[in-house]
Amino acid sequence: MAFYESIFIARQELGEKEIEKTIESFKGILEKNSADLVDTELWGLRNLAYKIEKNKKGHYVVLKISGNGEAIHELERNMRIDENIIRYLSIKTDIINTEPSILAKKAQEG
Amino acid sequence: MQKDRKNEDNDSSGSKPFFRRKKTCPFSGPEAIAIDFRDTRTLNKFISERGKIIPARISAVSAPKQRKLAQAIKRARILALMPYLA
Repeated sequence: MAFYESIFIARQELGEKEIEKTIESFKGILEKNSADLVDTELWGLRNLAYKIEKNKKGHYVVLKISGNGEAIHELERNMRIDENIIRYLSIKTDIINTEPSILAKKAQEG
Repeated sequence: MQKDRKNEDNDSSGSKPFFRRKKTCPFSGPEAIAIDFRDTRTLNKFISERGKIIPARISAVSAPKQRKLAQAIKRARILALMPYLA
């Protein structure tokens, strides 16, 4: 078992409910692959530093996962299929920090 | 080669009219800042106006930390938190 952080950027047009739904579906995928979704973090709608597929803004979501690499592989495969996801990045971490990061705090403030 | 080096050393330590304090690595030592790809405010200090990563010989970041820093900047770029080119 290892810890991962999977961050993805969803299209700007998506509503909160749709994002929740996407997170739920990813949670299902992870559980099927015997991985746990420990925590999620929303960074909200942020400006992108450069355009990705003609999008200027995107919703940032962080999934904090405890599981093995195969689960991450399957998750990334599904992220590639989903057209509402314009970018993703998965990172292996030593520990899972459940405290909100700087960007999450910023999103909460305003 | 060796002779040249010696001369350089003498120049910088002795005859210069102003004293330049030696910069130290901001990510090492007791007051070290953590390197995190989410912390774009810190990372922005280590890129040029053009968006390029500043070499360690100028920013005085230690070699192991420069590797971590470069990795963090590249991750931030992938997630469009920082520009590839500005």
